[in-house]
Amino acid sequence: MSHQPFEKWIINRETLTPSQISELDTHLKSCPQCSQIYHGWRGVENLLQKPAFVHAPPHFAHRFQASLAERKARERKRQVRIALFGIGGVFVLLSMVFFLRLILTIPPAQLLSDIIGWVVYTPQRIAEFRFILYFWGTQIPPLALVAAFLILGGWSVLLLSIWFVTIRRLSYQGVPQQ
Amino acid sequence: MINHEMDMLIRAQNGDEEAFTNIVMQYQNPVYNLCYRMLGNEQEAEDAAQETFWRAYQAIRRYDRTRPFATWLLSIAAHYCIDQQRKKRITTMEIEDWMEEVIPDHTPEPEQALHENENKHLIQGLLSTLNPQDRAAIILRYWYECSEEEISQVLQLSVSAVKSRLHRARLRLAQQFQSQQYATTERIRDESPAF
Repeated sequence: MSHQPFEKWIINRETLTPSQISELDTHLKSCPQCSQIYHGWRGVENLLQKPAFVHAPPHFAHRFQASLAERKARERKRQVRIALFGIGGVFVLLSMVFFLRLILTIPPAQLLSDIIGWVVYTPQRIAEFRFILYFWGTQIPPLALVAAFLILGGWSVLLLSIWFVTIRRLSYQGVPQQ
Repeated sequence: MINHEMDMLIRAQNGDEEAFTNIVMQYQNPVYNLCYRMLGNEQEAEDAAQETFWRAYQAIRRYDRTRPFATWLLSIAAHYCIDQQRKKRITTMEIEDWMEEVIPDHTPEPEQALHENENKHLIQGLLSTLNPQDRAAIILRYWYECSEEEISQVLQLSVSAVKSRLHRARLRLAQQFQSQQYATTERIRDESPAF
């Protein structure tokens, strides 16, 4: 037996014409399957007449406000992590490109001899660099060195104090809530 | 949209947290109810509603003021709950839970409260038999009295898709209601010493 359009009519009974309603009623008397749907839908309609609205638990908005700072901090950390991974990824990619280019453009024998040369001459170049540093160091007047030391030391003390006070304040007060 | 609400929205879009908290207060019940009806669990509904407001907070600058705010917010909630449901696929479990819950306990309780509780579980049990998008369509239609066009905006579906989803969902609800009534009658008959 065909259940269409009766199945549709059962659900949308309020839109039917009187002749369609009488046709549907006749069909319902002879079709147990549609009759079951009809009674089922009547029951569901009764339940959905005044569906109960479930209210949010007390202090819902306060909990949201309290979690906002934490969520923002978490989001900032996530963005920093993404940025660091991005920079790291680009660095790795560039290194790989550089390395590949090196392998593909320089013959292996030359590459090997360059590496050996670099390893062998490194101690000699470090010694030369130290000599240059020593030479220029002796040329600087002693007062300038003292002044530079004082400026660097002063700034370090100042920045460390600011950092310490900020961390201390945060650890005592926590993240501001509400 | 009334001026006060629009003013709050503009302030929230400009980064005013207090204005956004006022929005949360104003819309907490509709959002929570949608999440509860979709997920069927109070704790999950609270988490989902909180997540909805967080997502709305992050995206509020992109909100188009020509659209109704409630539709935009409910759309975020509905999509989040649909995703959660898809991840969990707990439909079968929920029916079993519901079957356990509707067995009347024998503690003294006012009749009306018992009846309301039964209805609440009955509706929730029926809703849990629907797939997440059909369930969202039914909830928006009957709890929020949304038109088919509004449902299509919230769920980002075509109006014809909404119509067919609503029809399919209503049919399924009717069949489920009948089979559950039958199961309840059978259980009562098995429990009764008269049979």
